[in-house]
Amino acid sequence: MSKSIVKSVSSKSIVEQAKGSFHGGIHPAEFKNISNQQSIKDLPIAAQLVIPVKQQLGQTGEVVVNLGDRISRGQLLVKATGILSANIHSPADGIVTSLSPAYVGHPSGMKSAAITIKTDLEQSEGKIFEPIDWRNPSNLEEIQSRIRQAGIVGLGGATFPTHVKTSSREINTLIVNAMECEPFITCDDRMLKDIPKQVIEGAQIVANLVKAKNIIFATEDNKQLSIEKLSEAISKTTESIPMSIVVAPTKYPSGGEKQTIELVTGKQVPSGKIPASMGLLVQNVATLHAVFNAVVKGQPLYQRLVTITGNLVDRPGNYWIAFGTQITDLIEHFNVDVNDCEKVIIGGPLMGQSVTDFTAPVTKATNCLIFNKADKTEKAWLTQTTEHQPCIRCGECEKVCPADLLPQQLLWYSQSDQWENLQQQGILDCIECGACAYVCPSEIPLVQYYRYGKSSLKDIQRKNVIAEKAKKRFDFKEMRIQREKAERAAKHKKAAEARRQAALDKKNDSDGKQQAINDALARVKQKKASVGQAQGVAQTETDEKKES
Amino acid sequence: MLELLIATLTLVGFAFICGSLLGFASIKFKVEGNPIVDQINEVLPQTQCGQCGYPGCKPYAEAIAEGEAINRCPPGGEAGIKALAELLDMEVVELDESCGEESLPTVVVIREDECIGCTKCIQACPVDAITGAAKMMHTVIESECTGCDLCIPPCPVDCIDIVEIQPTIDDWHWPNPAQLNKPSQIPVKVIS
Amino acid sequence: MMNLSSPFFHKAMPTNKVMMLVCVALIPGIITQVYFFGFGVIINLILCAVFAVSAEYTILKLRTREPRTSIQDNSALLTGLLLAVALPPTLPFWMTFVGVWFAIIFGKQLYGGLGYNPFNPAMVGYVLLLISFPVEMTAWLPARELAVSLPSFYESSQLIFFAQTADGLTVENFRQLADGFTMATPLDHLKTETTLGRMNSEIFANPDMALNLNGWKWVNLMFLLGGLYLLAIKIVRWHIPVAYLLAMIITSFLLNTYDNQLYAAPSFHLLTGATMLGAFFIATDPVSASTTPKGRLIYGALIGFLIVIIRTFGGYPDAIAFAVLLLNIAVPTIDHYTKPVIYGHKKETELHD
Repeated sequence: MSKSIVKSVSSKSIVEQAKGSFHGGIHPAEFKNISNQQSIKDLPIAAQLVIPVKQQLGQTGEVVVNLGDRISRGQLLVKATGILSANIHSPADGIVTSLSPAYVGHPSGMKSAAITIKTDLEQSEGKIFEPIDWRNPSNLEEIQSRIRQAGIVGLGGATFPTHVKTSSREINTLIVNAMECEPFITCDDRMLKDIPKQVIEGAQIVANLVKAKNIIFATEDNKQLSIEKLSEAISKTTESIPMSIVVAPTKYPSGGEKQTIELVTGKQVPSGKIPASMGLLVQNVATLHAVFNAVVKGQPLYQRLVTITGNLVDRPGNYWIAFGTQITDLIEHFNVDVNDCEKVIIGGPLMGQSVTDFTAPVTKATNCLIFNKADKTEKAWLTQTTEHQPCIRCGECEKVCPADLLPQQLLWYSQSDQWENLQQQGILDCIECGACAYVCPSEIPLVQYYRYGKSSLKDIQRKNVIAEKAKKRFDFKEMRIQREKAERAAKHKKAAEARRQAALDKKNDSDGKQQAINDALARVKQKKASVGQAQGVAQTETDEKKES
Repeated sequence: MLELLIATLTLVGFAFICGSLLGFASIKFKVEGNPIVDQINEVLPQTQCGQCGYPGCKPYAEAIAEGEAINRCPPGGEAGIKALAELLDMEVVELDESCGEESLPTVVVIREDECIGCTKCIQACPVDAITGAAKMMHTVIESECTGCDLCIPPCPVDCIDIVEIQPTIDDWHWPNPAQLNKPSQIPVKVIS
Repeated sequence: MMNLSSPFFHKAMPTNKVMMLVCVALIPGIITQVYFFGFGVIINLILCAVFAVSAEYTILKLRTREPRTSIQDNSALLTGLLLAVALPPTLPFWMTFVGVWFAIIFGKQLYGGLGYNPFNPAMVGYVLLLISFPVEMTAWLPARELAVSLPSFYESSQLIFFAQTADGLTVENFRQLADGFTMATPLDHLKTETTLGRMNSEIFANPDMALNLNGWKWVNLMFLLGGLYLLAIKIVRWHIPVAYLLAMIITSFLLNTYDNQLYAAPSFHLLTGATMLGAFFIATDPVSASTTPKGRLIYGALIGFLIVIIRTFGGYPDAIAFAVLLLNIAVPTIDHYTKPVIYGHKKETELHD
């Protein structure tokens, strides 16, 4: 059965042009050939690894090792808590030397929980899982839990836990995102050139798991060599799910999930919905390779392919780097002249993040590290905050916005702290691609204004939640006090009623002496039964007697 | 004479009809409570701290609706005043210093070994965020504490501390780039 | 250590260069103006540039802002130049001064400077002058072929600074034609004559009118050339000029078709007055124009429409400034109703076509 499909696929061209296009976009200089000329290499494991406890979107997991523990390669370090969380495994054999917070490369410059490991000289293989025969349909559940166990997250940079995405069973098409549209980054490109078969197998595993009927590799037309290698590998494969390649014209940010979908299908993901609602699942090349590693090789996600590039690196290229490897080690290994290197960019130059504290480690989100000498004359790098010129509303930003927003209006409302208007302008639909800031003639750090606006909105939301909770508790306390008051009042009323009744009874029975005697007996009994209660009654009695 | 009569009658007639309509509408579309008070209350931070001089946020909201100044809420701070000004279409004014100063969010913590279990703080807490029983140690449920500090004065042994909530990486706030240009104005907080 | 947010890549023409290129694009129009109306134009340009920059500098100093960066963005210079080319070539210098300072102070700096002004500063200055000094502001010289003699550079400077030349000639002397009549701009002439009840065929048959029109036609064509240059280097986007000119053509065509003796033809409207200057240099000022793509079309079209309407039915001969300022007021409303559809916000039916 599988053979006939393969034949029909290979008979016609499997490479086609993208159907759709998205609004805006930019064409920055690519700088890709710095790092994509050399084949993939391994980087030796550093003497010390600093592994952040949180490396993905969602909840922080629970640390399951103790200080001084001897750990083996692939051993679980951080256990996922909740659905939106991911396991973290040790990339090396060694000893846990510290559990105190470390600088993890967060833009705030704050430290965060981390596990520091002193690694052994001799390293084991680190394949801790049993390989799964994924072609056997009865193993689907096992594959799904394996993806979860292996701690796989989206390696394109978003680090969304992959098992959440693969839990859907109503997928029609698996789109493999190989756009890699940002300048400098070449790790997906190189992966498709060097190990296309493994990526294809990873894609087949995921497509099989989510019951997808076809797989589309989406890439840009500046990666001709990897398109060739990939189509060659596809035509040779014997896998059952049909595959094709969609090539889009090179334009940033075609690798954004929403933009990729628009390019491939010509449709937009409705706001507030996920691609699965359209029968689509988008996965990055490196993520699929991680799935292959976990399912076929039994290796959890503890290292990744990282592009090491920039004009200060002596051997630029793509390397398998263990999570936790610190930038300081890389600087040493690649002979980077630290004096020329004011900062390192993690990720691409358009969406990445700069670090000036070089103790920051490589994490699951690190797809690229750029060691570049700041070139102030050509404005290729904005190295510091300069006082930007005012916005003249020229509309260049609006022309390039892939989300069809009006960046000039977003800036206006962010600058003037008008959060409600900012939200109405659609700030939450901004993907922070940075195309607007790239073309801004006034050099306004637009994305930072949006991030400032977004975090302010988030703050307001959080404060509202707290206020709402406090209000409820306050209202409840008020209500409780009222209720207690009412209860007390009711009790008093009841007691008064009883008193009146007693007085009335007494009056009616004025000549019935027997009754009085009976009453007295009953009172005595009561007194014996409960002193406290009876005291009150006795008191009433004496009062009444006094009155009468 | 007749013209005068017609004009008068017409006007009176109109007035009557309009009056009846208004009267009908006021019964038919009667709004329970004062909606503006609820809207104001929504904006207030609900710390129930009483720094404004009213016994809680709702009473202050009612007072604002009656014409009290909008700048008497330190926990709401500048942002709160702005929101109130927008809601009520008023001028933004500075926070009334006599009510207190805007500060970072805080919670209180009881030094548990010093607590004598007098329950006075429990009664003072407007949001039931302190648990404990008579002659037993009390403790603050941190997630529910609004930082109103109302429990501090009643405590006979002064065993309650105010603790600033430390920002974590997850709720870190991107700084305003406009202020990055003036480095001296960034409130720098050293986190060790 | 606080890090700056991404992106770390930047490639764009800086604002000051944008402004400078707009100034450069004015050159062909300016040269033509000098040819047809004499060297007063040059003197006005220099005066306006100096006044504008000095006004900007003074106000920024008063506002305790660093004036250097703002001066360097060339926006004040551009405001000055735009106002200069709109002024009659022999306007007394102190009027120019009043206009430019008013434009910079009330049109721009009082709102917070570049980027915050709701009105086009040059037009604010122009309207102030037009309303305050209607006689001087409409005292245009006749075009070269029509004039008895154009004032020389020396004479122009004397007219501007002392209101008369060494020989005792005033602006009125230079405005007189060979037959003793004076002629203002073609728009002015048309307005006066139409009010007197003359027919278009009669007015346009006048050879003086034809000669005068010829001068204005060339000025407009040269501003069009500069405008096309701005379009070509993508500093100005097509929406506003195209909508503006199309709306003018359609409105004047309809009026002209209705009664060609009472209402002038589209070709007249397009090539006279400040039409092309307005289309490419004034209405396209991004700060005060609508900022959404659809909004720019509406904004441009309404300006074009209003120009023809005011020229035809209003009290003033030309109408660029009024039309632009009126639409400046409407910009927030236009922007509000013409927001583009954000990604993923299209209606369901549109998504699944």
